[in-house]
Amino acid sequence: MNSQNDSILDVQGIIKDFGGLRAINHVSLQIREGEVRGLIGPNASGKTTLINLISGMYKVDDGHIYLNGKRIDGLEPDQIASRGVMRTFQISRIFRNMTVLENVMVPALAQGQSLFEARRHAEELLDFALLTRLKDEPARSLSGGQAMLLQIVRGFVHQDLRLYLMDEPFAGVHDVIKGVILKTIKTMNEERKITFLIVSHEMTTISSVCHHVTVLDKGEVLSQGTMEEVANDPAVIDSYLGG
Amino acid sequence: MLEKNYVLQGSWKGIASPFVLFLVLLGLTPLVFNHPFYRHVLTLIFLFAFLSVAWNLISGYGGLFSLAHAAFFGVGAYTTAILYVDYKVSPWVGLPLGGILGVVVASIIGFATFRLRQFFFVLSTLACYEAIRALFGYWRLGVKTGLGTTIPRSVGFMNLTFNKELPYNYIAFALLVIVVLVARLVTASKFGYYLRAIKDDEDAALSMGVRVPRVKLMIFGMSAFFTAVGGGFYAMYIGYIEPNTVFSVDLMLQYILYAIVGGMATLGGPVLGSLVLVPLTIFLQGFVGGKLASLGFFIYGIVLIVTIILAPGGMMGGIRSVSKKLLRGMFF
Repeated sequence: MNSQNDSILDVQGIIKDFGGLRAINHVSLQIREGEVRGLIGPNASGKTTLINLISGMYKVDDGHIYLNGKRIDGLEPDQIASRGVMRTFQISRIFRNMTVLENVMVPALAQGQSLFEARRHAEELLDFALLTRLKDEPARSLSGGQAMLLQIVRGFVHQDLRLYLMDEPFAGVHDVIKGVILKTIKTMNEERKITFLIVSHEMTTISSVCHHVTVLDKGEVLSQGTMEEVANDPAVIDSYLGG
Repeated sequence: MLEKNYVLQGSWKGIASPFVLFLVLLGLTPLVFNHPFYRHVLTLIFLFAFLSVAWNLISGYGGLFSLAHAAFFGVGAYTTAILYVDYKVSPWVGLPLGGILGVVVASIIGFATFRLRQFFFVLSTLACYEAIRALFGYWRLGVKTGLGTTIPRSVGFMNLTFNKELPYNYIAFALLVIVVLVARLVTASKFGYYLRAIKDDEDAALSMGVRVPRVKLMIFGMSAFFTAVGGGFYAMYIGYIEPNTVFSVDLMLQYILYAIVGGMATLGGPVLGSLVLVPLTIFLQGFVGGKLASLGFFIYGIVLIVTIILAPGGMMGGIRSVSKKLLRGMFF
């Protein structure tokens, strides 16, 4: 078995158990290069677990994950990152005791950039995300929305970024910052051809940025397609309304 | 001003001025105090500052509170002493060899403990230390002269044995300068960024591509190397070793305390802590310890509690905070 040719990410029948609970049950998912895919579903449907499995934070119990046709399940998170996969966390996990600028420099340095290059790239990105005036502030002083924006911007400093996994990037974020995040995603998708897998509960936002949507429920793929298609899928309506 | 410090942490500018001046003045003190007892105190200040900076590498900058350092110290002390006493190898060769053996031991401990976090890591390093101490206590490890042995005094530079205190002063001071430079080099480099990121959030650092296990292993090894070298120097300086003395938790707790009180994750903190607390320790041992043996530890405890409550950032944190207020008062 190998991945489909045009898929940057090919998840094949993965399973993840936590004790007696099956969090992910035979999930298969293909994402084409340059696609912005939404991942939605009710609470505890396995969305974050799936992100953790793809990024290597959790190990799959069965099944395989391919990135550009090469298996990545079993690799450590830093190895997956070096292959061009970055991620964000649902609750911002910034380096609180480093400055905003240093936060963005860390992944750049980890990918082999010199201190000078990392600083230059980080400054460019902060400028793009309108965070320049905060660059020398300790990251712990940022608001929730600013911290989320920083967390997102941090990943883009990876020069060979191919796939960006975002876990609830719009949750609890002010509309202005939400706008900056959306603009950043669209620009990076168009200009750098970065592929996105975005977990979110915000349907309106998801529909404005995602080409396709995958719906998870109880650890299984319930539906896939355009936003319109999944919104009219009776199984999805049933799942969301608790029928 | 606070923001300024953050920026400076990643550059060489931070080492300039006050701390360099402080080190230079510290280096001149043996010339000012020529009484053998005061010079003995200075040797201990430099040695403990050296050990404290070495421990601070992994525990202050890396955020991994290690209690295995008593084992590295003992390994270094025994390596240097055994090579010198049994095989006539110069301590100048024994010190780095002891350091390398310390790195080997640290690598083994690291592989066993690095997946553990917080208290579990602390306890596991203590368990590893106990295992190594027991090994040295009950197994002769090929030592001809016995585990408790006096190191023969054959005066000479190559034997790291002197009749006067001054050479010990400057050798210990040189060790301190080396470890300070290495610590500065580490914190100003990419490696320093990784360490601070790991300390803040290990999972986030991993997901950003930081090779966390490798970074931890390298800093643990570096810290163990210097601690073992310190053990070797201590053995030659004291002239006698036995397991309970060189594999000593009490001794390790001293330089840990100096780093905490002085200010963890700072360059000057461990040095400042040693400068203040080593003389206090000697005073307590010499003038109070005889009558009330445990009073020293009681006072130690008080110092630690007061520091944690009043200045969580240690003396360096206190100095920064006061100087910030003073500057504000001057300019605003």
